[in-house]
Amino acid sequence: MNVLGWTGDTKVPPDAHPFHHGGWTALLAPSDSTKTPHVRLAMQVSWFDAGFNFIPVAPAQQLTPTDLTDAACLGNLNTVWQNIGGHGQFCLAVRPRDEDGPMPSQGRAWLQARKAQQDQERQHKTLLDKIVTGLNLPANACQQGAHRASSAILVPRNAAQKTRQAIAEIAQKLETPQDVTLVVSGLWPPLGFTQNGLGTA
Amino acid sequence: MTEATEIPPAQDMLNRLTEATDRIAIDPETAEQDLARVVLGLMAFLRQLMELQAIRRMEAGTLSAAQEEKLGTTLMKAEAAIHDVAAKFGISPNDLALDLGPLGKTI
Repeated sequence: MNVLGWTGDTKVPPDAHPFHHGGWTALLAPSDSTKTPHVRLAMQVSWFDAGFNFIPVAPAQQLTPTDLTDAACLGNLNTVWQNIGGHGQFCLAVRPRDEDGPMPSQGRAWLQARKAQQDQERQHKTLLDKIVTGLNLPANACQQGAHRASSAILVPRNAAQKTRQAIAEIAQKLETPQDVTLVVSGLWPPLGFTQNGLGTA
Repeated sequence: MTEATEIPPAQDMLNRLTEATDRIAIDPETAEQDLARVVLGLMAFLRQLMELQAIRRMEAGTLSAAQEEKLGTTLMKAEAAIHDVAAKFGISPNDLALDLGPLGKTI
């Protein structure tokens, strides 16, 4: 069995195997049908979309019921549950509209192209920071790299539509270059906000 | 800028959602590949530090054109060599980013 999440609710997904431990219910799924991170994420998303509230375990982490004895982990669940219960996350990314062309093959031109990429990534981060700050919601630190800047914001489930509109409004107000695009996806289970609870930090 | 809403490819999304657990881990069954990832990850990190320093020096104007050419060529070839060796272990360039927890990722 793999642990896909924890809940403080009495309602659990019908295809989850509940395991009561330390005042919490761990949501388990058979190991043979949840071997890959993709499958584990898909199952978590289906539970989330069906309206179940739970603290998700990062899909890359294969947590078994024998790992559930960590008292420190259980101690943090209360805090995490208070923070993310009833919430989901939007993922935001600012990236170039078009794919980059091939890199120069001459040393000096290559170094200059790398500098241009760095400058562009810095601009993307600044833009994303402005959007996230404007939303005034809990957010992960902006991550920069691979020609993009990305972040996740924690959103109450019942405010998803309102937040999506707010993102669009802020993005439209900002004077930004035409060659970048903002990608918003979600609502996802709040996987980016469980670091303090499940040994994933 | 145009605000766009789309679902990125599953792998891309998975990478970002799961990166909190993308820690250094060595499994007995994949020890060779895991060790290669750590060593190559550190090499990639050091190479990137050198690249950042080269760019700083270029911006400051302390490099001649010939030095810029030489440094650029060296860094470019070093990156290709690291990626080549990584590919032999089935490791993609993205996998070379080591997660140092609160300190962030190496590259």
